[in-house]
Amino acid sequence: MTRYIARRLISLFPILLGVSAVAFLIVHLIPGDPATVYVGEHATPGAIERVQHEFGLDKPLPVQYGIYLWNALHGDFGESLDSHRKVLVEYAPRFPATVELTLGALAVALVLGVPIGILSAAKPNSVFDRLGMVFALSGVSIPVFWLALMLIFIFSVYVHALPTSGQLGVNMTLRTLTGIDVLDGVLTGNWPAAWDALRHLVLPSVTVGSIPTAIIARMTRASMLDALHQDYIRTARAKGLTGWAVVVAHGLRNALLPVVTVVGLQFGSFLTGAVLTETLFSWPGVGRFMYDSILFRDYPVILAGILFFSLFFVIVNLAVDVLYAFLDPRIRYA
Amino acid sequence: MVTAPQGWRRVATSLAIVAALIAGILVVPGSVTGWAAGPTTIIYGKSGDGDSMDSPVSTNGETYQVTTQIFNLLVRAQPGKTDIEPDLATSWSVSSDGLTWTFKLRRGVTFHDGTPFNAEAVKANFDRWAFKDNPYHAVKGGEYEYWNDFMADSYKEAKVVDPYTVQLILKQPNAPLLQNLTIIAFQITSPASLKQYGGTGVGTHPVGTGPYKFVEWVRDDHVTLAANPSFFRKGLPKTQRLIMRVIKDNSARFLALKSGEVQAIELPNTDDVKAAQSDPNIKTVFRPPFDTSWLKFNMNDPLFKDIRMRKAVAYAINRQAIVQGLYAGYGEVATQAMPPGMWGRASNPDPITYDPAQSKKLLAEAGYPNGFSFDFWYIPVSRPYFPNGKEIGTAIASDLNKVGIRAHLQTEDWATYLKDQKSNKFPLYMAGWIGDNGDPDDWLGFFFPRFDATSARWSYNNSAVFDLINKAKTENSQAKRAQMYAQAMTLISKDLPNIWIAHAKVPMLVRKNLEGLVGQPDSNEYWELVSLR
Repeated sequence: MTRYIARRLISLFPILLGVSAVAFLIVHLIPGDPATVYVGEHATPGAIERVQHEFGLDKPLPVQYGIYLWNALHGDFGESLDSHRKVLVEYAPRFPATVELTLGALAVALVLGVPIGILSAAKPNSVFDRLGMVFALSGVSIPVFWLALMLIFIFSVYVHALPTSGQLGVNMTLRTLTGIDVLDGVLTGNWPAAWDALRHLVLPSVTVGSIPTAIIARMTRASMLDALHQDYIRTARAKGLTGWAVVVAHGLRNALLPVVTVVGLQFGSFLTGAVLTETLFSWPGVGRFMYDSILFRDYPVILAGILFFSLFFVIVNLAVDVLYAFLDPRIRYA
Repeated sequence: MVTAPQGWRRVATSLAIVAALIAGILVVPGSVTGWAAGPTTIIYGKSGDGDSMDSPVSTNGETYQVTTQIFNLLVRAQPGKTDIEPDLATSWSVSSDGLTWTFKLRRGVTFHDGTPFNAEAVKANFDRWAFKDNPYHAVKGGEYEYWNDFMADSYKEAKVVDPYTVQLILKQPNAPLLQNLTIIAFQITSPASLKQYGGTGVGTHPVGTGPYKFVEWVRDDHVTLAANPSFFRKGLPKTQRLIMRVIKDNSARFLALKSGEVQAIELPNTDDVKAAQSDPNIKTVFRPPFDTSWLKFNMNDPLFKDIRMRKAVAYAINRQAIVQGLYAGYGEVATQAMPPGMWGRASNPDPITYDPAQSKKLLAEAGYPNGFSFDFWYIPVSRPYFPNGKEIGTAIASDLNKVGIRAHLQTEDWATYLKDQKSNKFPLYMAGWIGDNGDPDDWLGFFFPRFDATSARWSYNNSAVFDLINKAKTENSQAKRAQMYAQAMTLISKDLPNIWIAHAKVPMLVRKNLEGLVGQPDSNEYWELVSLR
């Protein structure tokens, strides 16, 4: 197992090299250069040239790539063309914010999706099954931006129960340990801030979680139905076990494998940021940051983002593969 | 052995716990956790974040909205206008040759760090902007854009005459100088802070003399400012704390206002402005029109070299209907480059009215009785002067289609669009301008300084116009300058290189209990005047 993990980790390097080359090329092939955006509508040709020179954009592309790679290997991903701060400094506070939202969304998806799936599979074609699947279908079909605005409208504007946006109230002060505000509040014993952060987390989590809830519910249902028709279930029932004991103890354990795959993939894609949700809720995460950077042609930020995201994806996939071995003793990696 | 009823119980228990948690989150009132502001704090919802707190090296409007509260200028625009009023300078005069400007400075003013404001401080700032060898000049990635555009050509040096008198010495007259100095890019920074934090460091450690002191900046989230108790305008600011929150999505920003989380927002969607009119808790405040939108003919393109062709396009467009329908009623039809309220406007420059029959007649005269087809480029982003580029572009194309002119709507992303205006790629495109300083040179000087055969933007060629505009830049008398600009505008109107579309008033939405907010033409409101009831 250790050797397998080591091999997978080593294979990261060629993957990241390939990704960086392709990303670099694509980013630089997009028409419109950052210098023009930087100087804006008031630009004079002289100003654009000056800015291009300063950002090193007047050098040949292969040279730019070589310099980039060399610096990246030394942990220097350059400076944001927008803020002039180190790219890593820019990502540092945003990544935990996205992790917080991701965990919130997954919590919503698992807490809702798995039980709906189980209950639907346990009583197939019952009223509950049908309602559950209508719920799931709505989750996938409702556009995220609409759902977000409706949630804000209902819970913030009308009921005044939850804040409309942000990660933490602007009046709150919180010492940053992990950057995950709810956790920081708990760790530092700052309960008002932890509570405030949790309240800020609810609506964005429900929004981001809506689609995976639906997917997980459907996936759980399908694979539970499959599991419940297996011989070992019949054996369990024959032994005299009844109802939920069979469904949960025997069915669910065996049905979990595909669900884990889905959760893993969703987790990976959430880490790259939920652009719409982060924008609508002013969530200071990486998704919104990447989106702004693309509009601004902030090359160093875009490139580093693509590299980080590829890295997360590969690592999350690896984690899922390893998890298989624990969930299903029949799976062995050599 | 697990039995069925126990299993049900577990499920029921888990569900109950989840339900209780959700109920708890929803039911515990907001006041306990206090995200809403107290009456001594105003929270303003902005559409974006600044890039620095050092305005001289920023061209970012979001930066300026914040720095306007922290810093002062020598002279500034009056509330709600572009006319000048004293700020850190109490009076000023210019020598008859236009080369020496003398400013008398306000006494007893201190920076937020406790150091005194005086002539040396003014000179330190001008030295920093002007001279590359100044130790605080170099800022990583920062360009002194406004200095380079408006001052660099004419500026020689600053002289300290006495502790409260400073002179700006010029190499050549720069008539718009006073008006230029009302741009917040010429903010007076504490020289001590430059020493302490360096030229780059003041971008995150702003120290000025303004109504509010800087407290914190959480990027992409909010800037917190606290009242400056020793501000020189007595009785101001009216509120203890000002928080400028970034909420980029227009709808989300509007909902934050509706819920009372913020007390004012800028740039709402037009539909939301309409919706707000039936909300008893919200009122509308306008920024006076300080922008112009237009269609620009590429006169390097053979198609539009003939004035009859340009006129045919112009007569075919129903600008009144576009402004009525697509600016939510907050615009007015533009007849020239500069918005109302500016000096130097032509008295009656634009003879073009909506007249499709005239358009068809001109097309026939120009040899295109059945019309023609061409690519028409619409602006891909929302700007105050074109709130919705695509809808307005479509309306124009549809008008043109009625007289047989087939405009193929095209666009590309903003970065490319900005760049391509300077090539000959666009035969006809949508463009606009937001004023910087209230001087006519800012409008006409940028767009009509010369001819360029490789650029649609500068494809208009009339040396009489260029002469007038370039001469006006060095003329000292404002009355004479006004005449020259008006004359240039009349000439431009005759040649029709642009079809002026609209000037838009920009709405801001505020809670009913917020008082004293005056919309500023350049969007940099003075929050010192604002209070909460």
